[in-house]
Amino acid sequence: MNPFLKIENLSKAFGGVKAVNDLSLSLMPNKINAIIGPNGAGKTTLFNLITGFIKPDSGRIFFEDCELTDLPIHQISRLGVKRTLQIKSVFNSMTVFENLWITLSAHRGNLNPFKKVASYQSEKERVEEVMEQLDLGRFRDTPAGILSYGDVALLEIGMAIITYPKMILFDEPVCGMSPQETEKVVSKITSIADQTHVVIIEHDMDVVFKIADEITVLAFGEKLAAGTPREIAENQKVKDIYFGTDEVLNND
Amino acid sequence: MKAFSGFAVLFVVLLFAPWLITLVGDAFWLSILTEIVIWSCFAASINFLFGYVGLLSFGQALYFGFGMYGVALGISELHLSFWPAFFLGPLSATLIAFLTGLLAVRLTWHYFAIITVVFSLITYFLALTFKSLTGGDDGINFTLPDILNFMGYKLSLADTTTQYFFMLIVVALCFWLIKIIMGSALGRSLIAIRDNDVRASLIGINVYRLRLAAFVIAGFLAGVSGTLFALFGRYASASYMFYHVSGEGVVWAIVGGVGTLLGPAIGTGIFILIREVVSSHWQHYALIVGAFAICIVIFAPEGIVGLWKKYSRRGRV
Repeated sequence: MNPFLKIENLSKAFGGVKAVNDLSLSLMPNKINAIIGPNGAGKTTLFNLITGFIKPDSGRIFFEDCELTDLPIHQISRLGVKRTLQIKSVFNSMTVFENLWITLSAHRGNLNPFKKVASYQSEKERVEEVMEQLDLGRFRDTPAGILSYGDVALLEIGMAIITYPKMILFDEPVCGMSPQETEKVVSKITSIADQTHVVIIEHDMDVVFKIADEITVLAFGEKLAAGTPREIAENQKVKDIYFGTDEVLNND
Repeated sequence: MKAFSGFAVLFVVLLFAPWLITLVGDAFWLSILTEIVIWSCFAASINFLFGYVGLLSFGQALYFGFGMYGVALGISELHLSFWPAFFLGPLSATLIAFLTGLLAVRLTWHYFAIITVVFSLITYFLALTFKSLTGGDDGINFTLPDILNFMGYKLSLADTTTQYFFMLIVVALCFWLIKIIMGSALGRSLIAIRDNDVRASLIGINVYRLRLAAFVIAGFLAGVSGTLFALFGRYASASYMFYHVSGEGVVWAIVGGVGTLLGPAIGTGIFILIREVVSSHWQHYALIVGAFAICIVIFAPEGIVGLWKKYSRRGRV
């Protein structure tokens, strides 16, 4: 089995801080891959590098057969690499329908200035399908800006899956959510993972250990450990980085 | 339905304006209305950038000026007939918008506003320098060629009613073009960029290229209005490239309602009427304009059209 995402010797420094430091990773398909680590470990920076928000100082990024390293954001997106943001990000003045529609339309490169939006039939059908799938139909004509936090999160997930992406990067998808909202989002992510590669950054360890098949632990921009949830839970280095090396805790 | 009836009333009034005006008052008001129609297209240019893609330009006068000089020099220097000269105006404005846009749309917000001012200042001073060609602030005059002179049938802008309808048709076509674009996938993509440019690039939109496209379209619109204004005044002047012209357009668009199709036209109409009515009685009419603009921005940030929409919606509920 070949890895779908391969990162080779990736480095990125901000000023003197090495946010990602000579990092090499290979993520295997058919699993939910989680990336965890304490604050400042370089998790979001890694996502920013993969999706083209920032360019690495050195190193290379491969997705399936494509090298992403020097591609601009929109081209990486059109290769089927989609992402949700830590701070939920949708088009606030547009309705739920329009948000989903423009996402699909942009992916397909629709730009004909003389063709009416309403005349794109297959786009319309797919949008209706996704709204149904995520139970967003009742907000069809509601501007995204006035949706509740949990519904915006669902919309963002809808925007991530509507294009049948090859890989979705979720950046803290349940951050700030109520237990009910968390449960809903987690079940969506699990079902999405049946069809597409999922990589998730998450601080909620209950969620991570429940849904991840493979966990990579980052600390100070470097890979500390990688393995199944069980292996990670028992890994001494991981315990040290999360709980410190205090004797009392270690003996506990 | 309500919006449609608004359109219909406006359409009928504009269509019969030359006769309505002679019924109620001086024929001089027809030329004021013609001026409003022309400048509406200029305000629409500013609105296209600010209202639809979120870029506030204080330099649209540059493209207005290129439209003016395109048609004026086409007639006076190149001795073109009406139609080639007419197309030369918007064409030169569009071309220069593309060249300056390549640089300008790399920036956003105040940086973008500043670079547009800088571009328009540079060309303004260049126009002053090449006074032999441009006439500087005094400008250049030209004699109007006929629109059509075919087997004894003559059509010329010298007739004020013909002139009014000519300007009205051209500007109406521009507004129709804007409406078509904004109802398309391209228009939706521009709104997406205005709303959230980070998310827009994440869903696969080439933000830079579409901002450039919007900038070129806006340059074209400003060029059309400059061309029409040169034909209207039979002259072109570097003074119309100055940034106070751009600034006035920004105020018209904002007061009328940015992000709406007709807002810029309504703002333009109100301010030109204020100018015409008040300036003959009181030379400090600009004070009224300023106070009015400030009130609108504070109390109706979505402009007059936004206010109207809000109240008509409330009325329905």
